[in-house]
Amino acid sequence: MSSSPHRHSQHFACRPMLREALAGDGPLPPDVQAHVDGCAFCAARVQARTRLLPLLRRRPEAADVPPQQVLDGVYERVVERAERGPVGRLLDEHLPVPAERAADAWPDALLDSPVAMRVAGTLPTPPREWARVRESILGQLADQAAPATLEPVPAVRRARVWIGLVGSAVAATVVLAVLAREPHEPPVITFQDIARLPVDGAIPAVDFAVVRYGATR
Amino acid sequence: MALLLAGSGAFAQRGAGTLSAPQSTPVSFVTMAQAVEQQDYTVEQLRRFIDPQGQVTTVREQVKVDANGTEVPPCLVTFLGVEGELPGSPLHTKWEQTYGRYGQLFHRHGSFGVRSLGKVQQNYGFYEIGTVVRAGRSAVRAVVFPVSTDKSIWIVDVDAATKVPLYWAEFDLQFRLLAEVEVVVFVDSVVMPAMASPVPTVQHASFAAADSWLGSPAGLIEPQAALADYAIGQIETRQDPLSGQQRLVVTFTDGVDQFLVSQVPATPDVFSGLLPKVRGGAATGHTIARFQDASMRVLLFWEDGVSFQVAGRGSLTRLDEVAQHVYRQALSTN
Repeated sequence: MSSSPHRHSQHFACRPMLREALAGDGPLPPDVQAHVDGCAFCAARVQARTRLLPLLRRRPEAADVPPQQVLDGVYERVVERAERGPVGRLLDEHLPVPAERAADAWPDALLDSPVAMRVAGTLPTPPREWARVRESILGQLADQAAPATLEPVPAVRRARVWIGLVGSAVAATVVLAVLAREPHEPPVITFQDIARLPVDGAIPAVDFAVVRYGATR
Repeated sequence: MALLLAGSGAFAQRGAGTLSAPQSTPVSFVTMAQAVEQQDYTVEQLRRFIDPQGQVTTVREQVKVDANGTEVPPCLVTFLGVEGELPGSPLHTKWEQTYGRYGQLFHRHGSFGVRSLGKVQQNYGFYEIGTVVRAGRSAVRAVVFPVSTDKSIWIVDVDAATKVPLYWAEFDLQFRLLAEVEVVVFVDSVVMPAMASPVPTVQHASFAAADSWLGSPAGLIEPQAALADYAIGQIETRQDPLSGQQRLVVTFTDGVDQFLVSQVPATPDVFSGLLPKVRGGAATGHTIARFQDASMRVLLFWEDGVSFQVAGRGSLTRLDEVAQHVYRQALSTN
């Protein structure tokens, strides 16, 4: 489209006429109509408006391609672009292939790992202590069954049995707790790597660092 | 070995200066250990510090050793200057201050020496590879090779007459040069001035004596080596000349190599809040901070008011085990 100064000045007079001609919907005023009839520039634009206005009133539709297919096509293009991009390459390289069988998905190495050992391990129960508890209970029961010179009231007898049982259980629990603590596990100590030694003052100076480098690194 | 010699930057004065070695006794670990106990000497030497980027700083120092029949004779290290730097420059001043505070330690822990005859014979091999001239004296060049693979390799030029090392270069297993010292002037006598050492250091015969010297502060422990090839070399108490802070230092040696276990009592826990805690552990907060590079390995932790440092050469990865052992000792004691 030419933007020469001559053309610009030639159609300068058309502008108010054209504005009125394009804005109106019905017949044009006589002076505007007279101008449009005599001006090829304005006549062309008024004709174009007449042809396009009905079309613009209705939303254009893709007559040949259904809307859902259009959207699917868009989605596919997005996915293909992502697959070819950095995210897709990263997933290809690092995403593990799932095992076909459940047994394959559980490596045997995990069952032998230190974590597995700790989980599977149970507190040892010394059989000797359980034997003592059992003997104690049976002994008390036997005492209760033996004849006595003065037999206590049955309710009192039952109470004594229960007290004896509870006492034995408590004693056994205490003994087990003490024995279970004896194979003392060492405290867990972890290492934290640091990029440089803290400056002298924050911690006591590290003499060896000075020996090696002449200053704390 | 030729590459080692070429890369070491040694000033082996060959050619017209090559002399045959007039050795009365052969150079060996035995004679070198005897020299430590019996030979007085004064040397002027160049000590080269090599940083991880390969930058070298050469410091000229004077070392006076007054042998007294022990494996750790008194010594005096004096800063003379930085090669290529004018006196008064910032670098010169910085090194002067460093030597003023730590000078003795450069000779005690940063130099090659036979620190325990029994241990060095178990843990190292001595291989002569020729004769050179150092500081105008005939010297025997040898390689000191460790038995285990987690220690440094040394090339040493030993004075044929006095059996004092006149040059040494320390290499790691990848034959990276880690440190180098070159004697330029050697005098086989010493005049020791009557002055206090820059870092007041007191040797103790036992841990109990050192503990008593410090006033038996809470939290100190007697560390065990936990490494079969190392034994206790010295037990010392040191006072920092700047801060006045006292510390107990136990030095372990395998005959040549050393690592230090330092305990500084009455220090706050600077690691609390800095290091991550162990999640779900029965004893949270038992963390050892570890710094490692080719030249050194430093492990730091704190327990019951005492700051612990386990420091040694970078190749000695077993120091982690030592630090854990010492930490557990501290935990079980407190």
